Amino acid sequence: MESASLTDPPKPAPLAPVGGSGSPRSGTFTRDIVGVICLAVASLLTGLAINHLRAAPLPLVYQTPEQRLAAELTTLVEAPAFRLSDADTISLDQFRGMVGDHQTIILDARAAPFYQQGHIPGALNLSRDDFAADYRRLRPTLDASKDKSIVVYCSGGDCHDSRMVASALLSLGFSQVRVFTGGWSGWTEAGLPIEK
Amino acid sequence: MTGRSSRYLEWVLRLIIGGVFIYAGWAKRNDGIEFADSVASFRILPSAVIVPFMLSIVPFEIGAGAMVLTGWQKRLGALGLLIMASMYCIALALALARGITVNCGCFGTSAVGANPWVDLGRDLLLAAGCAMLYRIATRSVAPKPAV
Repeated sequence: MESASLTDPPKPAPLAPVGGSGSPRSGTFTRDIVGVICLAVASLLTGLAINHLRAAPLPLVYQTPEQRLAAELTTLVEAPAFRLSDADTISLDQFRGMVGDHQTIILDARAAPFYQQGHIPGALNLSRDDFAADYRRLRPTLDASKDKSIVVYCSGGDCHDSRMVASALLSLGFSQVRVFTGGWSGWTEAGLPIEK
Repeated sequence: MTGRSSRYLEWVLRLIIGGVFIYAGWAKRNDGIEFADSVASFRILPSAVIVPFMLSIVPFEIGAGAMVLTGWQKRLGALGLLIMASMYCIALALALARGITVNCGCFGTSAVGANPWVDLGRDLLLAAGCAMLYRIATRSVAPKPAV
């Protein structure tokens, strides 16, 4: 056994660990991480409960917009299977001439709140989000104008909704369906009139 | 930094960070599937996780933001928000690196037209603020050295 002699220099007092795994700060951090995990679990349970209490709860497994539109289409009478197809596209110059010519039906594929904030003059709202309900509402107008051409637009840029709505209309038997790819942003950036 | 200036800084950080995250959570409270589409647009999470993840974000942001703002469990709230802001930064940086167009949906999906670089810059600032707040809050509870 080692014994300290009186002549030995005094040993320095052990230093408190600063950042090691056993330090008080590290212990605090570990406790905080556990607390954050508990907060995350509580948030998940709260989120699930709120979703459950909603009028229309979201399905817990995510469905892409295409899958949702396909599911909406199946609720329509005699709706065929949805397949994304290539509708013709038109430019802003071509589209400008069609607005207000009474020979073209213009459809806004954006969600209703965006449509209500402003849309291209004369456009009807056939949103991709709520396709089946909007289609049922617009069906008399659309069926009465089967000989007319239809142009669909959405936000513009990378927006995909106009193509999906156009594809759905093609699969429902409408033949003259085209997409204005410039969309709402292309229209407003050109300083063209809007309707609210 | 003196004790007083550290306290002022902590107050300012708590007001800003707590306020921003409570507002962000509140702005998203009614976003349903549109927010799930925003999360999916990052192409990071598998389909099975997207909806549970996005459902938990609103309570987490409001809860942790309230902790930071009120001072009750502020350290825990600051760490939670630091992890969340860092996660947003990584997701946005990955999307930018892969050239994916995303709508961050950070302040609700109706807040369209945001620039992802601006979103990334804002989230980096928030993460730095959360880290600073966590550090200050941790120091204020650290045991005093024995005399």
